[in-house]
Amino acid sequence: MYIPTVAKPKQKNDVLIERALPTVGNVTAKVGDNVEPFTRLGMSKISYEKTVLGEDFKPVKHKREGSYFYQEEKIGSIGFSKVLAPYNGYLVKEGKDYVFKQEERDYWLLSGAWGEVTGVVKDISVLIRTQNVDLSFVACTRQNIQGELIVFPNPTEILVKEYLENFSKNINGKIIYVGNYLSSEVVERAIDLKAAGLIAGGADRSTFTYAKENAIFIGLFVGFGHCQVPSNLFEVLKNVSNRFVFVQGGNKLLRIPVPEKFGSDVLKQSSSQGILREVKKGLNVLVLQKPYFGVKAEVDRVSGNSIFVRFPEKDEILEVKIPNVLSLE
Amino acid sequence: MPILSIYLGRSEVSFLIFNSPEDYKVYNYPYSLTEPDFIKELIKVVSKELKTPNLSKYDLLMCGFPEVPKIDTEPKLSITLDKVATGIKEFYPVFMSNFSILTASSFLSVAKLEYVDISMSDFFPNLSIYPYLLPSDSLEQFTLDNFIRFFPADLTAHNINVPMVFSGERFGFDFSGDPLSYMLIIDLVKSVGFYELRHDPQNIVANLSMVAKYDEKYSNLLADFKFLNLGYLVNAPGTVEGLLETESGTRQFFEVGSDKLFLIPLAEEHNRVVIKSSVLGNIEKTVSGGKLGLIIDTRPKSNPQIFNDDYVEKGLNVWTTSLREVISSL
Repeated sequence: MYIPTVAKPKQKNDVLIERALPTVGNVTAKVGDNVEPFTRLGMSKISYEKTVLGEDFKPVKHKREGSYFYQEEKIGSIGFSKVLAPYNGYLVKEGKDYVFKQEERDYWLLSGAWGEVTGVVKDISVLIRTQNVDLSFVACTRQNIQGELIVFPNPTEILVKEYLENFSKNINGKIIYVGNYLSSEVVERAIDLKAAGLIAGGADRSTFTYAKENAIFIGLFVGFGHCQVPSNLFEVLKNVSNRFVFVQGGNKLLRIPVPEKFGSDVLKQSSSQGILREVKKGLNVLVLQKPYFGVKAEVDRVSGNSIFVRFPEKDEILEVKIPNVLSLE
Repeated sequence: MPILSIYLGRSEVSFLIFNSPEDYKVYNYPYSLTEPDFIKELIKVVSKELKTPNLSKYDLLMCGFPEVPKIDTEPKLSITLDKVATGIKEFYPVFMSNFSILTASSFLSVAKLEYVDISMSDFFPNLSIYPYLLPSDSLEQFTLDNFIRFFPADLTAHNINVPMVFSGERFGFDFSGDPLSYMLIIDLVKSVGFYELRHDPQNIVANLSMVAKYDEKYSNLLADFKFLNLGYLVNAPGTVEGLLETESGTRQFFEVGSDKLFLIPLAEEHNRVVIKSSVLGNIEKTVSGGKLGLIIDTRPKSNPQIFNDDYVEKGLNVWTTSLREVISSL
């Protein structure tokens, strides 16, 4: 009997990515420039934060729309509550609402990838030809996001939140690989900390729906439930921690930019092998059957349309019906 | 030249290696992938498993739904499943998968999620990722079957005078002939009438039809093929009275009240059956054998207000027990 393998990491060359300024600014990169992830491509000014104060807000005397306030300075009141400036910025009106906007700061657009500039839209964006390693999600929300990838070292479930807290000062806008299982508690905390996305082996359906409703990206490599991430995927991820990555939710892809001469044993292995594997004793497999959905195991023996697998950590043998199993090799 | 016909379903791939109506092999692969090299690799695997070398040199026919997948080799014939179904005149085909039904006249994919409690486990969301997964127990299978069980009455059959043949991935790899599967078949035929039921446990109909279309000398292939005879279904809500007369002259009268599923095993001989019902009138037929025999179904299946998940859940145990007893008595 032959069974398919799980989706493998793939290297893609000649990939075009667009890097755009958040507002109209100044693009300094030129067609033909060779770029690296930290190469500056251009700059614009943006306000990173804004606070809606509402219709009932009353500004302090002698201050009006367009006034500048320093952080902690009183800007007005709502009823009997005094309102202080949460950051340096300006008081403006949007429709009937008063809004407090953070002072504009420089935004430097970085390349995020190794490659060559092949096109420029004046004052707006840059097109780069590059190469990626693509990891496929089996399920994800549909946003397209980009940001720095933080990789947790597959901590046990009780430690995931602790890892998140340790990184908490610096998580805004980042994409976090949390490990095998993503709990709803971690999603809630990541939303508070303004993470851009969360990646894991598995999560419960309710957690996935909650993340979707709160517009945070969620990507799963194995499925719904307590799933284990295949070793070859984790091998790739742990080597690219802190790299700028691109997520294409519609295509279910995590695109990791790599240098032109990128050599990885995992990629060499996956490109040389086909899709189907003969089931033999000792083959590493991913079980897709209750009560061990998404758990890694080793084939012990084959009997008709059943495969008996051994779980190394549990010293237990389970009969798995074909097709509820995939090869990990 | 021998023929290799491949039907690529959403959860299974069916191969027919065809030399003649008397010399053919069937191979069902219980996974279906969208990777471009999948079929190419699978042909090599099937060639090895069935000890049939040079399979890649056979005349290749491809069927799929909603599109025929593109592979390196250009097939000699490439048709989508809906066109295959509409071309079959010898019987009324019903292709069933986990989430859809495709017949000679219509197609419907999952319509009424309210019949299925998808919150009960991660199995259903995972099934959308891995469409080939088998349910772990009969409760999951029952819940899964409910995706298609309550499709509209007109979808499966209406005023047909040829046998119905039930095929598709629902019955392909490792099909065990379990009562839940036969229950689903009976539940899907909702319109009032008298039906001959046939079953295709090998998921071979699509590939046979491809061969018949490809080569004129096999144009009678579908008419001559012996599908598994399931029996004869009398769909008539309300009370049904009847008489069954065997070839040897023995007579058996029966009366079945409303809301019942009643099965009468039939001998492999020409039996005469006379049915009297307020909705069907008086009908007389000759019937012979079948895995389930004569099935008198007086449940109001075409009334979606009554025939719903609660109704089926309440009666399922009794009905499947009747089916199990008939199957195991053979």
